[in-house]
Amino acid sequence: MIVLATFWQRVLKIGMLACATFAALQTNAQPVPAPTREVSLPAPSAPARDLFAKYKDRLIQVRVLLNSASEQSSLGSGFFVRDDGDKGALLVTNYHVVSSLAIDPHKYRIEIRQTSEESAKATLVAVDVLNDLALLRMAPRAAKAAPTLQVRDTMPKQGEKLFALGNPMELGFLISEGVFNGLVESRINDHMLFSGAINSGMSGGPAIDDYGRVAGVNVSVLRDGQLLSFLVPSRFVTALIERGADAAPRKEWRSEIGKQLTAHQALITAKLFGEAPAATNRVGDAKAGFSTQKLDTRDVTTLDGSLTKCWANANDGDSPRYRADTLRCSLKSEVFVRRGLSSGSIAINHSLLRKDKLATPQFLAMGSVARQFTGYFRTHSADLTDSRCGEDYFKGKLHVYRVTTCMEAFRKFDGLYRLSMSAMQVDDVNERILTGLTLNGFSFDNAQRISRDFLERLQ
Amino acid sequence: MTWSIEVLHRDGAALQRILIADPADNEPRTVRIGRALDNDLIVDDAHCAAHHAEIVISGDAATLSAVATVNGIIAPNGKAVRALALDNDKPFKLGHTSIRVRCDRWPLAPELPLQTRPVWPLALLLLGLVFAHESWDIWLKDVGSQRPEYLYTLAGVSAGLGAWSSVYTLFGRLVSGTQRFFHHLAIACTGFLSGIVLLYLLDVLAFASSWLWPIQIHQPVVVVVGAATVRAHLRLADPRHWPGLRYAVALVAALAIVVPIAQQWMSHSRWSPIESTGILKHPALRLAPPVSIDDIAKRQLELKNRTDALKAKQEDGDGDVYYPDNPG
Repeated sequence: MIVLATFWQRVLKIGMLACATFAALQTNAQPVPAPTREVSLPAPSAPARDLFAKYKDRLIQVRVLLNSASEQSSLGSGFFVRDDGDKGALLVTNYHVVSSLAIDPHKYRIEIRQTSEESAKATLVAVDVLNDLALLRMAPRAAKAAPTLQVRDTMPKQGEKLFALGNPMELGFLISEGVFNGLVESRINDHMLFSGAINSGMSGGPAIDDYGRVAGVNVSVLRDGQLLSFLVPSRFVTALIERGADAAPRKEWRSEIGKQLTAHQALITAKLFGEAPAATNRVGDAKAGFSTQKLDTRDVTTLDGSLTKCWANANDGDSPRYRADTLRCSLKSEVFVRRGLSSGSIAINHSLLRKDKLATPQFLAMGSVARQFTGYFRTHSADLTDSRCGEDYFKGKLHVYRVTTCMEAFRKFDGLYRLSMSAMQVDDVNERILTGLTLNGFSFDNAQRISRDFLERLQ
Repeated sequence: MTWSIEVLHRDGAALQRILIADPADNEPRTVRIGRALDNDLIVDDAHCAAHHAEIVISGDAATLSAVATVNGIIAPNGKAVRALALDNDKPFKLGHTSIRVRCDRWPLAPELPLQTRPVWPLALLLLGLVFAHESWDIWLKDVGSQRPEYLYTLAGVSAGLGAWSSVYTLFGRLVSGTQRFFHHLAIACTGFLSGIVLLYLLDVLAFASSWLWPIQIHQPVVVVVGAATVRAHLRLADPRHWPGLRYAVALVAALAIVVPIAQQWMSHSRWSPIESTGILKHPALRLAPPVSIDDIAKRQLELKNRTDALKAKQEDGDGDVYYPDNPG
């Protein structure tokens, strides 16, 4: 969960809490105590105190203001990485802090504030949507050098102490001590696991080691975890500075974001079909692909590999008169684009319905209702066009299905689509399987390729 | 030969009648009509003149002509005229007053037989069918551990149909003085059942053929069936005004069909919100053959082109527009 310090933050939190509760119910797991809203920070150790005193002037609060109201629309933190003198200093923050500006540059502007309460204007010079990083350039100030932080070029060892810095919830700049706990294995992008507190508004702040070198950038927390926070590894910061420091200034970022999202979905597609280029990062080896799995007596297509999460549940609590076994799988590969819009995810749902004690007409009448079991629903988003759908009968290897295909286009990014396909078995009165595939944020060619492969595997 | 001139109530009953026996001398007789007290037939109508019209009866012919009136005579066909030859007993109007002239030489309409067969057994049979369908419908959904509310649903349906029929019954009693609850109940149940049957057949057709249009026309079909039901109710309750009311009913029905379609087009650039059926019938009813994977690929391409067109149409437009930076 990305730490968004915005108006919607509370709404988002409630949503995530609800999701967490739902997941707990779904898996019959031990109920997880609801996380408190404000995680209390442990008292700083002596090094933390010294580090904070030494480096606090390198910290920045990044505010994205709505032009028309001149009030903040989103908040985050950042840090200086390079001072180019007359050209102004470069600073790093999260992409999600400045996403609204990147997508609608004429509606927003960036203002940065230092610990000394001085504020200045800044412009966006580079974005890395996949790793959630943005490079800003502060408007040059007369004869005043910006103190920078050094970016570390090696990965810390597991157990090494790190200190996250930032300005959470506008409560003032602070330091939060924690431990680096290795890379997260189940995501397509490298994320460092940090067992320390990161709160809303600290997004984009640095996580530094004992020597004040940046090891990672605060990016997100797991809302239903305790002190499970994530950092973007520092080498992506180095890469972004190299790429963006001397880039020509621009105001239009949608095409660049679209390009990165397109590259992302191309990589996922390649991984799915085992065609990915040699790993470029440590978890680049992470596997993803279709595989066949049993759902009771039926063979169903699911996602396989280390990037995939599957959940199963049954209707055992609700009704003993028929059976509905559900399997949901998704590829943990989605990228935050803007509030309410993400891209590059794949989800597969299967429901197996068994007649058991129902009469045949009752079981058939459930056909139209049973979409709830596949999780087949679409919410309307202003970032997507209206959906357009069509239906056909299709014969899989063994059974005949009614296949509904729906398509929506990303309105602000060319060439990206959401394709949802659901297949309802129509040739059996005693059991039927309902299958759904959702491809969010894919090019048409890739969506077509993946869905074709999926249909070819349909039993 | 005897003539009678009658002032009619709007439900057709004669309020006032003057009889004119055959004049022995065959002299033409003149009957004057108006508000003034020196008329032969005095009408209390502000839209009539003091001496509005007169009827000249000569032998077996009668002629009506306007005297000193601005409104003239409104002939049975609704047109304003200055003179009218009277050769039948259709009422004409002076101002708002309906007047009928009858002659004992003119043919009388035959006696209408009383309705001898009672309607209530048919009405109750139809209501029973409605109950049967509703029970079946709830039973189909009775798949969970909690029983659905059969009795509430049946009570609700009977209350709805009863209230609907009562409204028309009351209306009929007010305008034409007849009370026909079971007729109206039979009409309401017939309308309900025919709607159910039509929609079911459309669903089966959609499932069998893989066509979408049988589902998409559900709403217009419901409107047409509803309009036909209302037509039957109104013809029974208020037969004299049906010729005029039919246009109102047709207009309302047409609007009920056109408005949602037009709004759907304005809001979502399509004619129907329904793009998938989601219905499932018995496998034996499916006639359409499965399509190939290439056909589905073609379908996807078609959907892509449609969303692209939609995107071009719904473009938010701020991508290339230059807004000067806020100086603040």
